[in-house]
Amino acid sequence: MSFLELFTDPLSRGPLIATLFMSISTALVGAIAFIRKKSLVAETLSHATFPGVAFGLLASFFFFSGNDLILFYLPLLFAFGFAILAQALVEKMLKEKKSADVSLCYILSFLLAIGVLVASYMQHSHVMLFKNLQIFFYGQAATMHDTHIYIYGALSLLVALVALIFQRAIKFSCFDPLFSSSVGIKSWIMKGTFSFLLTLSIVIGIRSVGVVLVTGMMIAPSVVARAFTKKFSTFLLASSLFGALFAFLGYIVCYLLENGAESTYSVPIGPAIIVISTLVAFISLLFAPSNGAIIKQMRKWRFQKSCILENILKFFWKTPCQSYHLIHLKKKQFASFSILLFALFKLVKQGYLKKEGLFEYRLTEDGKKKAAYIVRLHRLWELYLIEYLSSEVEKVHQSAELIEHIITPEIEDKLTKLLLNPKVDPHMQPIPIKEVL
Amino acid sequence: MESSLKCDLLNVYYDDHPVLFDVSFEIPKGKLVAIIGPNGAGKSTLLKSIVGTIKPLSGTVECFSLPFHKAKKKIAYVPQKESIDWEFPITVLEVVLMGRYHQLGLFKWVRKCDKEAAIEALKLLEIESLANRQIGELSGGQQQRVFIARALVQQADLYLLDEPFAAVDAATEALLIDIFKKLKEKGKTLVIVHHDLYSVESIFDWVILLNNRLIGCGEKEKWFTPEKISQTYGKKEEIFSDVISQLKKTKSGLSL
Amino acid sequence: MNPYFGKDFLSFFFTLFSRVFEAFFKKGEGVELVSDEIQILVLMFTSISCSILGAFLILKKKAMLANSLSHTSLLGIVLSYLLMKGIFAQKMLTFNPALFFLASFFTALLTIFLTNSCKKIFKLHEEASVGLIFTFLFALALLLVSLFTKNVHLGVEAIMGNIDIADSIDVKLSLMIALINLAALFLFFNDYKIFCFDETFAKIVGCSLVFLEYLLMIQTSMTAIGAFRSVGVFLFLVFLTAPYLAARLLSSELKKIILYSALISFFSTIFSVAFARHLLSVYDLALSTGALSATCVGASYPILGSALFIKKKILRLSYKEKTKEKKKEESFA
Repeated sequence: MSFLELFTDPLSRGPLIATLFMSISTALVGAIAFIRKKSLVAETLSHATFPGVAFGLLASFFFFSGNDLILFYLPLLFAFGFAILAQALVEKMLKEKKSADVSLCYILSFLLAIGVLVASYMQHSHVMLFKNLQIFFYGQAATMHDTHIYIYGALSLLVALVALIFQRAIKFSCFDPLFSSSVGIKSWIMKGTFSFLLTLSIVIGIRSVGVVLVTGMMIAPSVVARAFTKKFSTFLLASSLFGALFAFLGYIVCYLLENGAESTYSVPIGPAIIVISTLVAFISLLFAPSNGAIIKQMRKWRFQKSCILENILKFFWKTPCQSYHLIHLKKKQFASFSILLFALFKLVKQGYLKKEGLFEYRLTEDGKKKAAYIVRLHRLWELYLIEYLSSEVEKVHQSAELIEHIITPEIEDKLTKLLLNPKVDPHMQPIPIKEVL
Repeated sequence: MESSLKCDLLNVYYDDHPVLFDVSFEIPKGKLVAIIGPNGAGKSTLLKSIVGTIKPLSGTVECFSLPFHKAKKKIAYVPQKESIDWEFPITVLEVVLMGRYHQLGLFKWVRKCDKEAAIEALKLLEIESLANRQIGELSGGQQQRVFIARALVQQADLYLLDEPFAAVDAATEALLIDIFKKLKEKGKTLVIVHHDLYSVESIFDWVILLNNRLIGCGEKEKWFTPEKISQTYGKKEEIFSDVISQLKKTKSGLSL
Repeated sequence: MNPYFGKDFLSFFFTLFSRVFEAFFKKGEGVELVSDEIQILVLMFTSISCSILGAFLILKKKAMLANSLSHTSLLGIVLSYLLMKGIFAQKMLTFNPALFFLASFFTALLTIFLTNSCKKIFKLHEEASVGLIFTFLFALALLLVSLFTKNVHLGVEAIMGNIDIADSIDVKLSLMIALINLAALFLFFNDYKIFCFDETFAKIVGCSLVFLEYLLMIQTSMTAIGAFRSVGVFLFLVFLTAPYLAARLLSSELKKIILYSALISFFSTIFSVAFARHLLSVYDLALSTGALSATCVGASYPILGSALFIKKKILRLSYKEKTKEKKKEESFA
């Protein structure tokens, strides 16, 4: 079956499309929670929906004799109600000066315990209801059908719309609550909106991925989006899209495993989505162009490397007509042997050094100019430290050893102007003039 | 000069802390030193780097001519009060007793002499009557006295205090000043981050002027002058700021 | 034949006390533990462990991290189950102490290491780091369960527990965990106290923050995995939080709080076992004893809180009455 057919085939389109809608809304709301640094509230709310669903199922059985329509909607309504109740209870505990941490943990586990208690009753007395309940605990995307598409689609659309309308207000209340209340955005309205969105998206989510895994759907997409953008509206959009993408990938993986050529594995979609999205989150955290941890480390290494190269050039500059053998350079301890070799190789490639014989090196004309420039920066900085920052003459050299590698041409310009184009440094050494390279 | 605290070319460039750039100074024993500078000058960062809460990128710290971890037992540090949980079930006496941790045995059981030392400290801070109160029930001034009492009980030779007078009442402030002066007379050294320029003259005898770099360190008569103060609080040298932000970006691996 | 069979709430306690007397006088000869008593013992030891842990976890604001560990311990259980199946071809629920410890250490270390890496290296905020890691490890565990075992019960058991089929091995396991937690309390009480109250100070006076954090987490994951059989890994969170919250209403002294929380937890669990038996005997209602005990323990906080609130109101009313009367007397005089 081709990918497009998955969207139209009556068996697969229910699970796929409903899950897509669901993950868009959970990712979107998760992004807002992420910015507000309240990602774990979802954990408490999702666990609170469990007793809600249980009571809802019982109520539909006892009061509506298990009418199918009621059986579909009532548990969701109760779930919503219990999630709101959980939030109210947490607020009450916060008022009693309990920390958010223990309040969330207590409410989540206590309500879950009540849910499990009711579940155990259902397990023995109302087995059909119990099976229905299990669907909400573990999620069961596979049994979703067209009705689910419409309902969850509509609910997700509602979430997206509310988020869109209140976008600016949400942005301000997340980043600057004092400012937002001063311009009339009542904090309780914002809190209520956020609460409503969170609860709604969780209730949407529990049917396909289950009570326990909804939190996972909310965090990873935000982490990925955050690694790539800092703009709020882009961040929200990106989170939603990533959420949808991961849901799609998760579904594909489950589908392929189930219809595999050699062996079939029945894998629930919720865990698949979360594992995929978290792996992508780790990759983004490591490799995102601006903030990725590995990218940052590589930049640090590149800087260290350029420092070594420049230090070697400075050394050659002291006796510009002399050539040096590798062994001699090794004694100067610029770096370990292999790095030194690599550095020399690079310098030759860049045209600053030329090779004479197997391991002899000499400064080229370009190399002389480059080295002179670095020495210039070093001595300008020393002068600046002494004249404008009242440093002691003995201490400026060490500082300049680092700063000479950092000063940009703009800063050099400013220094030259400020120090009135000086000719001599604090140690009475001449300052090289700026030559065009 | 017998040095109590010596920093040599201390450099701290982490992205979420104010910068310290090549900070070097030496303080002799038995001085009451004020660290002054504008917001973001790195005053708290300096104390944190000395005690090791923040790891400096380079530079050395010596207390009584020993590296910090060897001299730990002679040093007491009282940070700002931000991260204390005031709902914690702990009494004033128990907080002060924490200062005796060094001297406690294997199972860290509290002995009579420890209790007596703690009560002595509480007496000095005039809060002996509050010994069995929960810390959440105290006023701001009383809370500060508790943490100073804890520092006293450590019987250190070097005291590092971060804004001890912030948000305390006048009575507490006067009492603390009196205690600090008495400690100085006993030969102890106190290094205090201080925010109020007007009271420097009456309390301290040495100053450290800090504005991400050391402007000056020494006797207040020589260094606490209008010229030096305006240099400390004046506009940041533009080139210096440029270089510092470049340095921070490079050290954090951010794109320039 | 179970002597508690068919007993209602009050006769449950009669039977219990008479059996305890009997065991005491016969010095334990010829007395065999039955399921209800096993449940009481297991829950009692679990209560002790959780009371000790709960206080420090809550004070250090790591309750949600304990929630995180409760999820990730499923991964530890699953991996040790796979190992057992692969190496020893044993039935899953057989207790193997070495693998139990392995699962605990591995779980705690992995969770803490990954969460801290997210915070320090990636600069992710606390809640996102905790949430990202535990949902990932938990989802991974569920995937492994579905791929390799085709045993749904593993997941259900882990979550809901099944104390109704607990046996003497579980008693030994929970006793061992309780003893370990008690030992840690005895050895490290002051260290933990300083560590929870003022981390900066703890570091400066020489406590090893890393050691204490990992120790606390290993204790937690050990207790969580141990509780997996009795009340399930999720419900053990109630045992961690509710007794502390209830005890905190009664005292402001840490040692007393731990003691009271153990007592509150213990009595709630005995009540719940008796109540479960009562419901079965009288109403023919078979509820999960684990869930019932978790609910009772959880309810102890709001119940105690309401009781104290009502007491305060009554006292205030009677005080108002007294002052009113005094004023009346004075105005007549």
